[in-house]
Amino acid sequence: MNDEIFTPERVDEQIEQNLSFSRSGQFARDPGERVVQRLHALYEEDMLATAHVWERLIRQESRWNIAAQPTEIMQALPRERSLLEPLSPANLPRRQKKYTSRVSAFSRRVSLFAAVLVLAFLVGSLIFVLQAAHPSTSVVTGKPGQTVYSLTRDPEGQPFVDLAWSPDSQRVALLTTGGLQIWDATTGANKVTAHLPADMLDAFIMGSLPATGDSSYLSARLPASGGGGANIRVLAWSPDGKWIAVSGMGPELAIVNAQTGALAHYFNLASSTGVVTENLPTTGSSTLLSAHMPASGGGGPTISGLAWSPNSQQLAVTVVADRLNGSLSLNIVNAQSGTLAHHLTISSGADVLNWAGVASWSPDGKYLAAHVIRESQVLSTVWVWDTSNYQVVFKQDGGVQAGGTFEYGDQLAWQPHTNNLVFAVGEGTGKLFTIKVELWDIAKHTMLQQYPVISLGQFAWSPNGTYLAVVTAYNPSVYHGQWITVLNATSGHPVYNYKQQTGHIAALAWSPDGKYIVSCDESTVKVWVAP
Amino acid sequence: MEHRESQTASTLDDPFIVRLYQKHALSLMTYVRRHVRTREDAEDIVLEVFLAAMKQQEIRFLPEEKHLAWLQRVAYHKFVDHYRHVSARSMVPLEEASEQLLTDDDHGPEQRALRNEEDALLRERVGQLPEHYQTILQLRFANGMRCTEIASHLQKSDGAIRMVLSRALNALREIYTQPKEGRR
Repeated sequence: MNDEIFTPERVDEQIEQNLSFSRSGQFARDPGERVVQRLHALYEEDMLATAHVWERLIRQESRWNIAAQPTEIMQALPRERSLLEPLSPANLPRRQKKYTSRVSAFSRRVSLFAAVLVLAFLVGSLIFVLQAAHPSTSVVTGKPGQTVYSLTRDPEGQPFVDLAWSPDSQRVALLTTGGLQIWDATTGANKVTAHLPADMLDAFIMGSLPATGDSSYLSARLPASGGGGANIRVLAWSPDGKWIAVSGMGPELAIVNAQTGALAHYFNLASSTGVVTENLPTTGSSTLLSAHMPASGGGGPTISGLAWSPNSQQLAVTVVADRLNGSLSLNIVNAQSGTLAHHLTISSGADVLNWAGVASWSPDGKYLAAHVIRESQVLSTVWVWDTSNYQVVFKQDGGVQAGGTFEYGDQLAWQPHTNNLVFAVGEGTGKLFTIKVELWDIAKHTMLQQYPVISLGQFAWSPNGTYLAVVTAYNPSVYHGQWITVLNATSGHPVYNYKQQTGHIAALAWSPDGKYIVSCDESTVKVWVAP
Repeated sequence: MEHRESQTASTLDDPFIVRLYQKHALSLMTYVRRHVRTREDAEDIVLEVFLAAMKQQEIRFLPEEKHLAWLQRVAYHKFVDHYRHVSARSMVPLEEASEQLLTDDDHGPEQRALRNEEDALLRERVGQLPEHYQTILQLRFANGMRCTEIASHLQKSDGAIRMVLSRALNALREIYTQPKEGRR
């Protein structure tokens, strides 16, 4: 008699049937039912115990932190200090005291005078250098993590989506579902609202997209309260400071004047003629991207990432041509004319749907990288092309996130002054899915560093490349609750944790002068002193 | 309007430990539960293992693939300490005590004792399976992944996963088919 009750062909269904039986509360008597029921119960028990131990660990660490208060440490110092103090004059013989006293007084006066001269020289030099480099820069006085400016939207206001620093570190551009605002970074003054076409803004409205009408895509892409949702990069400030490129996550791409907010160029990638619906001047060529878009009824192209070339002449635009077909392309667009310089089709194999992606140029412009999410937010791949010939020089698959909920961002970032690229790689199993952060030398195809953080995929380098700010999850059970951890890029050790952001962190950027970091969730933007 | 958060006692400051816990806590708990009688004892041991990881720097310099082995080695020493100090306990976990009041035959003391014995045997038999069998069982029953997802994650064929899973279940099922002494 064949005692093999569980068969390979039906094992999943058999398990589910037996589990549904156990959920009904009935005690299973059949051995097959019992083994499934008991395995499920034992693993559930272990997971519950694991969660309980986590809470106890946190309480224990909290007790350690209370026990190590600075006052306790300071009280221990006087004894040590007395052993280190130099022999005081009170301990010397009388004759020695007199002579020593006169010499000491003179020496002290000379030393003090010299110290004042040196200090004056240093301060003067510092002021001169600062004024020469940044005429309007104020000296940072706050401690790391201190918020210098905060902006909170009204409860009925539009969620925050993305942000960017101006190259001179003076201004911040903030993209909301209601439009684009630009303001002085540390004061919020001199606010400029960019003039974006209405149908572009319509694409942000929760629950509708002009092309697809598919709300699930939009709601999955925008940060929602309570966490979850992929991050997007559809706002980019040109390195020369003149332009800001914006996408509404539909087929429209706008380039605005960074000083005035005036619309300079507007391209509709879905239009064969480049004409948009708002009687705006057409600046896009008919050979832009529409020629590459498949004729399909599955929805129009959507932009998921924007990146300026280092010389501010071109934009790398990642476009999902058709969400049902899932073909994704990376398009190099000449920013002033809207003409297409290069079109790269990203294919991940047969029957693989490419879902979204972001791109980034290396600091010297030699490489172009893209991080592509595919297969309904489950898989990811990092691609790098040599921009001299647009050949693929690097490709790395990023692991699996089972369960279908895309909880981490799709970011990558080049380390300044290098061709080293940092990105997040998923690994793990379902509920215990985790993410590694890896730094690769692209030219040598070598992994340089693996950082021990649970990253949610948002990165920002300090301008000198010494530190890496990473959005991390502090609760391993869920990906709600995020910090910004600043790591020493060489050692991987954390140097600072910023905990002031309360929601899912949508965007993060380090000011080009290194002084501040700006971060936002869907309702609050904070500019804070960088460590 | 500036938001200031007071730090609650709901976080750990060490990203390394957070990640270590996320990656290995469940596997460690399953391992420990095979060797100690009660869930409370298992929790204590797992807690002590991770406290040791927090205090000691050694594990931070090990390659990631050696982390679980380190944790299990520390857990083993904790077992030894645990069995040195534990005496015969008359204490019964609260959930067992309350269930002993039930009169239903399926939940009576005898049945409960039988189930505990079977659960202990099930844990032991799972621990005796090849490592990749245990991994697949954990992915299926703890993480709720279907065979296709497990196959993709482990980069194996769907058929291979189904074969392993069905074999494991058929082997473990024997616990409930073999006659037991004193069983009604």
